[in-house]
Amino acid sequence: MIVVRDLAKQYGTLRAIDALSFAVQPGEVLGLVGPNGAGKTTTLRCLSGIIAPTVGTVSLGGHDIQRDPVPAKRALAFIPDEPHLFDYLTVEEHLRFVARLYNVVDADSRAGQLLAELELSDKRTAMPEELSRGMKQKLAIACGLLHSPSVLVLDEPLTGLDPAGMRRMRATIAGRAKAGAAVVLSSHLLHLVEELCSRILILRHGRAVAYGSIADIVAANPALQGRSLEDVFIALTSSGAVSNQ
Amino acid sequence: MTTAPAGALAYLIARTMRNRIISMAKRLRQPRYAIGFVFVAGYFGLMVWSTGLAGRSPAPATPAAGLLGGDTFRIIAPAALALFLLPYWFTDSALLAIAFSRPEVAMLFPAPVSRRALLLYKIVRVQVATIISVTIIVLLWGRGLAPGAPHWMAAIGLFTLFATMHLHRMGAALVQVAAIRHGRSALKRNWLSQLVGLVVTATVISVIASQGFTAAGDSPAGPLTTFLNGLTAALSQPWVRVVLSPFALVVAPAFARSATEWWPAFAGAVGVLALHLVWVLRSHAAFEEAAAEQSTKLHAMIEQFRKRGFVEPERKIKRRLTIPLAPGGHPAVALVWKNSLNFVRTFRPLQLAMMLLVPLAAAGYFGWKSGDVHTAVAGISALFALILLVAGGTSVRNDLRADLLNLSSLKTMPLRGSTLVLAEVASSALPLAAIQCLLLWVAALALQMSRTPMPSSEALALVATLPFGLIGLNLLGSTIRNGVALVFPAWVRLGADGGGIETAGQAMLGMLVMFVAVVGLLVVPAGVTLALVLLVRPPPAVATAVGVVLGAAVVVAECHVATLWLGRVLERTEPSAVAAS
Repeated sequence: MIVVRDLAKQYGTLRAIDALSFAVQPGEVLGLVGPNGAGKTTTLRCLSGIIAPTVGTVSLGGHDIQRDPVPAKRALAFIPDEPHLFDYLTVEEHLRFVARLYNVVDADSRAGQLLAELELSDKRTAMPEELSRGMKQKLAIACGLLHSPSVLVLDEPLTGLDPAGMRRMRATIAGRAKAGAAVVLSSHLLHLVEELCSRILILRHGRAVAYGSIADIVAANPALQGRSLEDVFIALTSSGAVSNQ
Repeated sequence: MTTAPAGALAYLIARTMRNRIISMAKRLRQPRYAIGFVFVAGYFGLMVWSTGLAGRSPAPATPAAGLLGGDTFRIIAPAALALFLLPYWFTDSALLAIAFSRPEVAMLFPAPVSRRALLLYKIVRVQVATIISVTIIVLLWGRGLAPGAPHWMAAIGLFTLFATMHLHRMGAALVQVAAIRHGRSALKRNWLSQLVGLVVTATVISVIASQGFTAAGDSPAGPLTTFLNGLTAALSQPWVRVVLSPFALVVAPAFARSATEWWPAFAGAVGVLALHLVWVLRSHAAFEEAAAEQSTKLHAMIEQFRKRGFVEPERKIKRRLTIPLAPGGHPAVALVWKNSLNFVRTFRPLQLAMMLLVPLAAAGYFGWKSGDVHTAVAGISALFALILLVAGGTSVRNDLRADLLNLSSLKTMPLRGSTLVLAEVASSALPLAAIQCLLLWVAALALQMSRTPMPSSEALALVATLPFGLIGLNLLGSTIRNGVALVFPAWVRLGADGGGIETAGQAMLGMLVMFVAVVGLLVVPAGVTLALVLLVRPPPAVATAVGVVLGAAVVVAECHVATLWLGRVLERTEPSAVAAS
């Protein structure tokens, strides 16, 4: 599971995120939404150990990401919006590299299965430069899923995917959650968030303005009763909106 | 170029420079950069004060000044320049000179800017780096350059030399690109540049291969003096001087002996520079003209070229060459494996062959002259190993210098910071140590077969312990290089490419920092080893073996402490600190 307490990140005079606390149980999918610059990517980077929080703690699978990073990262897969691949490794070698990093003993069979699932089987020996943007994204997803992470952090997971790839990715996220993974995903695609997420965290200027299921959020804002998630999102993140957390 | 795009490109260059300077100044608020800046500025201040750059009475000429101002150097320098430029024509190393960054491609290539304007933009932008580089070199070298002429003349002379070299590299790259895209027709169009290249190549090789040897004859002087005398005599022949005269014109102002000598030399160098500029822009124009005349298919190819541009020239990746990796075991091995694949896949045999050409030719020559081929082979192998030890790390960059650009990925890996740093350090140190070890084993074998072999017990001790010593030394060098990249990412060129001639000054400064750090870190191991040998006084073979192993052990211990600290630095470093650089 993921437990975040009083998380804050300061860049000079800018408070990128402030006083964020939330938890994601195994099997749960939390949607992180907010306008551009709200602090979504900073939050995900703090969760993944890429940047250190100024204040607060992040625990993944019972391990503090700052104090006990190796076991925490062993449980984690972070899939960024922009796939970062190594120029001189083939598709297959990327998976072999990840298998060794996470000590995946049955890597061959898992890799074959993932490549087939993501339609990359015929690209096993291809270099990243020979892959399209969507294929690169699929490879990054395959690398993230190879070690069956119990914590999945996804930043705009559908970027670059074709419609079939999007549908498959939605099924994959739901499937991983059903299998017991705690999932956090950030997206501007509100229908995706609505479809997959059991709870939503809406950020504005680095602070949580709403947290809970859509029903909880609407219940806390009676004026939004019967409105779509998009309307709820705009109402809560537009200037003049008040936090209800 | 019409005014509008020219103005936009000039604005881009000027604002980039301005913002870069501002961000550099802001970076000095961080203590590590402030301390680094104080050291570098203090060093340069000392250089300015000691060499009289600030208007004090000039310091006496240094031995370097004597060498650079000497007749032998002035005769050999044009041939050396020709040899330096030669690989640009036979390898793909020139192509990086016409590479554009991703944002430039995204913004400029679809914009209504002609290719000529793009090339001019590229040329102007590189000059900024060249000016910085020249300033550093003049400050470092002081009176060694253009002895007798004011420093500003030396600086301008050096700038002209570097700018011409860069334009030459661009020209070679454009010819290659045109040949790749258009085959024979492009070769026909560029017949003049190819003819010039062939004549110069043939001249330099024929002089070194035959004329130098025969002109020197048998001499009572040592083989090196004999060789230099022979080479100087051969290069002084009128026809050779004519062929190499453009190169002589280019180097002349940088090493002029007086202000009077500098002015005409500078005029000649500017002439060659201007010809290069015309050549580069004209070869580009010819490319456009040919494109318009070709078929629809070719036009589509040109459009694709326009979209992709000159970005990141395609390299032939030897994908079948692989290294096995078991899925189980220490995860850090995966990182070394990944970096080793990077090394073997970007390794260029042709470039290595060209690098080895001169030492091998010299070995052959000295062996032939002295009648002792084994000693010559031993000497040249050892020399090449030494060169790799000192400078190999600047070209073999499959470590943090390449991987820091992927810092986000590195930081999500389930490895401690110190383990990550150690794996990265080992990635470049181990292949270098292996190559040096092989070369030195060849040298030892050749020496044992020569007329003056080492005592066999000492030779055996040295051969057996060499891997330890070389691993220690290479780990030390790699730790420093990776440490500098990690602590000062904004001051180090990150990525697989170490930069061209425009970054020579920065590379020289880096070498100086490296040298000072290595000497500082070798004090303790050398002291411990020396103390033990003096106290115990073992037999020479034992002293050799114990000395090498003990020294290596102390160096490895130093590296271990350094990687622990660097690991903490890596854990604290945020990707934005690297991306901002």
